[in-house]
Amino acid sequence: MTEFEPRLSQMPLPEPPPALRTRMLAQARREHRWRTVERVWRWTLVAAAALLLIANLHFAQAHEREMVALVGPPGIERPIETKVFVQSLAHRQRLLTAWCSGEFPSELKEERL
Amino acid sequence: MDSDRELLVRLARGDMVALGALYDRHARRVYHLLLARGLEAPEADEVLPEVFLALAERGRKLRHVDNALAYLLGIARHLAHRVRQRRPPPGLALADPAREDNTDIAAMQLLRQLPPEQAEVVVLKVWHGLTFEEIGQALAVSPNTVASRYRYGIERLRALWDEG
Repeated sequence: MTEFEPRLSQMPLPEPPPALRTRMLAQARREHRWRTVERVWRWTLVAAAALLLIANLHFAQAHEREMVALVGPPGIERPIETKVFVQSLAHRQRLLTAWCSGEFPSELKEERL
Repeated sequence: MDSDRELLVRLARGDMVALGALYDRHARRVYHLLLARGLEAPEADEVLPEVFLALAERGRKLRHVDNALAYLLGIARHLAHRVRQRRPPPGLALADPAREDNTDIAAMQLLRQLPPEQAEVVVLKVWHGLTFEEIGQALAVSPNTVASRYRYGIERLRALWDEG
């Protein structure tokens, strides 16, 4: 450091007003409180949303079980018996042909398309 | 006395006394850096609390900050840049003659002749006694760059001093 720097350092610079410290700390405390309250609200909302999801899942499963108990498992889960299905189709086709030709067999009169 | 690191950890837990301690330790450096970056005193009065509030706002992330001064000066430089960009046209510039007496004006007038990068290094070295190493860490530049900026700044100030 040469002679110039000590002389330069003797020249005062403006200082921050003391009131700034008090004002800054008051604002920091206020913002800290707000952040804390905000954080509590955010976690409350997250917990509520999670509970809602869990409850929804639980009731959906319970409802599904009730429905199965009432009507049995959905049809798509039952294996289709191909032979019975083809026989049923052939029978219906025979009925339709007979009805169209006017030769409706008496033993089949009870049946309707 | 707690180190900066300990104060930051306490501040991260929401201890506002630690913020006060950090303010007492670093506010003058930050304030003078703001002035060196070209802010007027009323602007620096506005920005200085914002710098510390921005620090407090970081919350738990402060646990990972190693150098409080570097962090504060980084925020201060960013905010000073933003203030300079938003300044009103020259005719409407802020002025508060009551704040600056003649000696303050003399020092600031000299410093304002320098580029901000040189002025901030000169302020931190001459008025706050930091080493080139410390300034380099605080401003995120190498000590050689700091020394170079300082040398150019001091030469320019000496020339201005001799002229005036």
